[in-house]
Amino acid sequence: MRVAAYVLKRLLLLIPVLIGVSLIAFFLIRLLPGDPVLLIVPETATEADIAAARERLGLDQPILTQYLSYVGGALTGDFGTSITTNRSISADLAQRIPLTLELLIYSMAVALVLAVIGGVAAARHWHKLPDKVLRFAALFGNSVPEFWLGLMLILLFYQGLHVAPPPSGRVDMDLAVPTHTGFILIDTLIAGNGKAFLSALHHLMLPVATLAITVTAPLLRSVRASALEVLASDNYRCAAAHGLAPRVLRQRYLMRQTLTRLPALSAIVFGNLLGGSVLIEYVFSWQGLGQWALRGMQVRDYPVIQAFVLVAATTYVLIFLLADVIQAALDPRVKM
Amino acid sequence: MSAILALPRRIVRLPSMVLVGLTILTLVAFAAVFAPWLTGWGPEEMDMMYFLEGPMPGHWLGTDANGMDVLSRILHGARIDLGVAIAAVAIAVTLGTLVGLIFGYAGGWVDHVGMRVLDMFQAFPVFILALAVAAILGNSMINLILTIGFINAPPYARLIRAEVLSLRNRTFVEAAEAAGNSHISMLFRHLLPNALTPILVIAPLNCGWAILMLASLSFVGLGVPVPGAEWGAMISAGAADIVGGRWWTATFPGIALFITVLGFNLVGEGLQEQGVKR
Repeated sequence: MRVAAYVLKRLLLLIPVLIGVSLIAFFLIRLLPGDPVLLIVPETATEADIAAARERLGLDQPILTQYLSYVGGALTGDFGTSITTNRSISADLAQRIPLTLELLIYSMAVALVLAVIGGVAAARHWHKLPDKVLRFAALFGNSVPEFWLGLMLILLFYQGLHVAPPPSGRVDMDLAVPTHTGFILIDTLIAGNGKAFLSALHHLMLPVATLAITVTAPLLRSVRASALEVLASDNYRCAAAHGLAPRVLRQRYLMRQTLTRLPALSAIVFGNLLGGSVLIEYVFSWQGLGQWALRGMQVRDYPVIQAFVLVAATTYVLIFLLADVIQAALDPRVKM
Repeated sequence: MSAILALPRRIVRLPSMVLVGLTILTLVAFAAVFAPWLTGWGPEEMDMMYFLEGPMPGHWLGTDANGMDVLSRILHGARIDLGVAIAAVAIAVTLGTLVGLIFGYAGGWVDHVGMRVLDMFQAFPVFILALAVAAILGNSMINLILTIGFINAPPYARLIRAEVLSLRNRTFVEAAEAAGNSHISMLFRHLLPNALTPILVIAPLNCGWAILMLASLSFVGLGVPVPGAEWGAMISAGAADIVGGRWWTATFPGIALFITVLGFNLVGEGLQEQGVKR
């Protein structure tokens, strides 16, 4: 009940932020010097064509009306149609979001596990060899361009060692399975096709590894820092001085207290992951949201850009909320 | 001014991380300045004899699909990448500092409304905002610098505002106020110099991010257009060669990019640690 009330309160506080986000997404397109309608009509269009397009897109309405109908549409899941493909944007989103989510979720999971194990180990061996090795690894992960790392992994594991599949598609060509959820690992399980499941894992390997490596770096550093703080805290030192068994100290004190700080860190890193997924989808020809948005950006398909920016920001904001709720549930000191 | 004047004394005992980083950056800057004299080829000059040939004498890092010398393009790329990143960070620091000073000093509704607006911009994942703005504004060099500059400004505004808020209650600031200093003098002679130190630490890290952002935008075709010698654009063009086993066109510019970002990160993180120890 307490958690429910807290979530409700936070959701209400979200409303002004989302209004702001929608305003920015809406006016971003109007940053463009000149008339958006000129982007849409072909270069050979006559004055009459331009006027007709303006009316069709509602661009002849006052700006406030335009904004309200845009927000009204977005709230009911109607983002309009792409001006270059004429496809419904909502349908495109529904088809592509699962592909991207799949990449994001697995990468985040791998990164979290690596960062927690590595960060706590580094803190326990502070300034000794494991700590130094991990700091070096974090420096590498923070400095390496993720899209280049992806290409290098393709070069090494596909081109060189032939252990990875070619960088396109989600399963081997001959193993296509019917789509139920859009999540390939779940769809292959539903189809009961073990071979396709393994093939999907195989195809996920490199893109997930690339994304995970680049987000593990910042997480690792934060976990290490918060584990060091716990180790130096009065309550941990008191517990240690009382001679608790090392295993109890490690699991009940060090791990648990370090983990309560993790949700907030993960939410911040999730933003990097969202941006990075655009690049990684491009490298691996992964037909998710990023590839779709990128194509829209390259041809200045402005309803597509708008929808993508809005969806990305809303997701990011909701992830922050989720992180806060998890944190509040984990940590009794947080006031709800 | 004390914070700035004290800096040279501290440089004497800089940690080795910072020194390594500075060495790397000096080499990259050297490459940028002397690029035209370091190889026999221009960055967009085609060698009609060798298309997509691996490293060999004369083309030490090979040639790309247009017969352009990869080494020469990497060296010239240092000009664009370093130049854009430093210009963008300069814009971000200036803009963020001004806004942060005003919010922190004015307080009240200016501060309140201003901070909410910053919150809204920070609700967007940074790179996605960069993609959208670059796509909409178009990819001239000036637009790229402005885009990257604007997008990196909000954290500086936050940082400076927080510094100003904590400085406002210090005795010397109250004394300066009581002595009848004008607002301008309060802002730029008393508050600004004392609020600048944290920026010196963040700015190098930010230069690294700015280079990555530029290269990433170019990589997906929204940054420096072909055949411009920019590292991300070179990697993008080279990506197509990888599946054919021609690895040099994408690999070498990536190494240059990685090493340069590493240089900035070493300096930034080294300074950060120095700050923690103090």
